[in-house]
Amino acid sequence: MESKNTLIQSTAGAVPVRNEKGELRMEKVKVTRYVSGKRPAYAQEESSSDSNEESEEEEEEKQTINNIDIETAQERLNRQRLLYSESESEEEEEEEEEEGVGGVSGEEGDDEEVELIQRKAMKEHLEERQLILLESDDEEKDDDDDDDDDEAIDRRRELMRERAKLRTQEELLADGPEEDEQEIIKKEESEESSEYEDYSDSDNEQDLRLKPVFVRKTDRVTIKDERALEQEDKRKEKERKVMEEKRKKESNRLLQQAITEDLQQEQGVDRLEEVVNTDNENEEEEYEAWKIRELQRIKRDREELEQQRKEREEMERVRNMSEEQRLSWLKSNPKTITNSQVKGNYKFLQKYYHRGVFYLDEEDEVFKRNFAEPTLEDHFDKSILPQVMQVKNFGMAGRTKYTHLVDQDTTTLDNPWTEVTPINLKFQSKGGGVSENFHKPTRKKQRTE
Amino acid sequence: QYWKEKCFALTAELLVDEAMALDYVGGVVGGNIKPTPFLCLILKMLQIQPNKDIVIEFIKNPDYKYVRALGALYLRIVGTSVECYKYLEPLYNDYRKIKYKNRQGKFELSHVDEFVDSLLREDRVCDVILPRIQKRHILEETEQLEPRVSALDDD
Repeated sequence: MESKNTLIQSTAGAVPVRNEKGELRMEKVKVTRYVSGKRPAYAQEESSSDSNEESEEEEEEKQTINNIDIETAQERLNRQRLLYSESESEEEEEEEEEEGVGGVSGEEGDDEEVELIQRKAMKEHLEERQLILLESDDEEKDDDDDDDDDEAIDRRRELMRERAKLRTQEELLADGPEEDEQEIIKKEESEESSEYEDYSDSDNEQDLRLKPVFVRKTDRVTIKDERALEQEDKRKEKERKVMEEKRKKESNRLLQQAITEDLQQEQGVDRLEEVVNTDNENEEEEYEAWKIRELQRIKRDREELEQQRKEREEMERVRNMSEEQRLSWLKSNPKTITNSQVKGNYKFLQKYYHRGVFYLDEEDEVFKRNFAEPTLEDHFDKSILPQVMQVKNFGMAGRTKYTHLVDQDTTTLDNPWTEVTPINLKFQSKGGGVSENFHKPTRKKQRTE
Repeated sequence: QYWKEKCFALTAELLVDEAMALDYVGGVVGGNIKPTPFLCLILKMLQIQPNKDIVIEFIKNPDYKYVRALGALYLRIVGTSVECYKYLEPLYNDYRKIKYKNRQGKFELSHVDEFVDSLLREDRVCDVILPRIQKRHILEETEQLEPRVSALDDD
């Protein structure tokens, strides 16, 4: 309380007031001047205030004061002195001293006397009240936990009001004429010495202010600190973003991995690379890949068209050629066999397979294999078998008595027919149907017609 | 097994559901040449012989690539050459990935356009011998088809 009061004094009229949230706030106090013979504002208010135990006490005291106020106007010193002594009897020894002094000062003038007495009474009253407030504060602190909020708030308000009043009254007192009443002041000081000392202390503290010195904006430490803080914030933000990005990538990667692992299990593939994932559609990439395929198709189509065109042209040309031309042309442009093979050496009685006439111009590993290799029973050397067994399908239903064609060839090579002699050649060239040029019979007919 | 479990008493509408559930194409698989669901559905389609409009809807649907592949193969088996070229060539522009299960049961990555290309050019797709198709240039010469314009030619 005391510390609070000290604060109050040093704030030049503003007063800390507790609002409903319990926060301290500085509020300016409206000072109402005290006028003698007029009922002070607090008295009127207090009479109408609620009926707490404390307030009852206060009311009693106030009534006494009110009585004083009213009676001062009518009755004079004697009466007051009587009253005063009555009130003193209730109080402690300090006040007795006051009485003595008051008696001394009281002789100067009626009005002044009255005022003085009034003031003293008020002082006492205030002090009492302060005591009460202190007590009530302590009580409040103790009871805080138990009391309801409403009660606490009410009380606090009450306290506020009273504190404010106290202050106004004190100020009033301070304002009052004090040339004659230095003694009273002395008394006051003696009474409230602790309070006054506090005030003066706080004032001294206020006086010890440092001299304001101009500091350039660039040299100001606070600004630099602010900037550093800002930069720090920015840096942190950046780091955070980078971290987020990293985390995103990481989680994405993990997700992908999990998906591929699932797929791997589903597809039963050993290696991760063999997993076929058709769901990770990347539009751009896909489009590029498709573009390449499409271009390849277009190229293929064009080539095919070109090929066809060439073939057709060639066909036309060959058709228009004469027989000799055609023969010479065929000789110079033989059929291209890309996968031509050397004729293999066949073993004795090895089964023969013809390679066929298709796929002669197709590039494939299969077409390049040696088809003349012996297979199955051909691996055996059949030349060491007895003569009877040197036949095809020996012991089978399809057995033949022949081994191979040359075995059955009965041509005698020393036959005069087959000898290549000039006479033979001449004879063979003049035979029917051996001429190199063939003329269609219909053509001959057309020509004759 | 798939055939007995899923393809029993399928109608054209139910077949669509089954087709949407497909997740790879393929012919027969493994040592005991087991047919894939894709092939089973082709056979079912051949049995119930859905309307040509339905097949064309299959091909034209943009969402399900395997339904599209199914419709394409069916049309290739059933339709005439002109129809094949007319309806399958637009699929050249579909570059979505599809899974192809090869003979060994391994999955291969393929694309819808590749699948369609093989349909139009090869005579054996998904272990099905396709009917012969007239060459494109012949149809072009007889003016039953316009020359093909690729999507890239427009650019």
